[in-house]
Amino acid sequence: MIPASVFGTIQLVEELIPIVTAGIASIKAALSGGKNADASLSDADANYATLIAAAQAIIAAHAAGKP
Amino acid sequence: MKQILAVVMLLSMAACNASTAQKLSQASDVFSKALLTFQQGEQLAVQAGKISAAEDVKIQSALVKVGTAGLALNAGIRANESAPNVSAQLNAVIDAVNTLIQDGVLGIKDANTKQELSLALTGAEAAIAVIASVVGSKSPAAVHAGVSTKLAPQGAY
Repeated sequence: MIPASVFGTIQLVEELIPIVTAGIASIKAALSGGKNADASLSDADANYATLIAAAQAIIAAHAAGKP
Repeated sequence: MKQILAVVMLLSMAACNASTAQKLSQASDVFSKALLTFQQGEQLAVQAGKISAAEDVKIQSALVKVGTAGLALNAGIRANESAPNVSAQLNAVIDAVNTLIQDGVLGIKDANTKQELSLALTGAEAAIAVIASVVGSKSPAAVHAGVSTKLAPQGAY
């Protein structure tokens, strides 16, 4: 019988792998796509903005007592 | 692990073949994508109950700082494309990443999750190392195993 904590970790790793794989695919695309500096910076700006917005939404949700 | 090594090698190869502005821009692009991937993975861990609400808030607060520093870094790269002098902005990014690692990731109680998310940050650390190697002369790898080395202002050496 697999302990619940180990099972949970296995499940988490299973779920993490596709996300990390997708992330690596997008990184490879960024490096091999031949984008110029302006295009790379624009994409990076959009990613940073998305990151900040998501993080602020998560913090606000916690402050409101939502899981 | 092989995939992470592949990203580091791809980053190094791209850095060799591109102009200075392109190296910095690509590395910032990769860094931002790696952070998004990290954030998505971290949220899965939250949903799985591996990260507490308090730990999550610390990590997300650090990510806000990293993202803000990343935007400033991009502004610096844009302003100094021909003569990159973005060490101040890069140091702010390094500070923010250090906070993310020290106060956020290393504070996670679940050991496996801590290890997995540390690994997930490797791509971001490699991208910052590429930027540092382009900008600084003394610090080819500004981020190493969670301990970062700040760069002196350009021309200080």
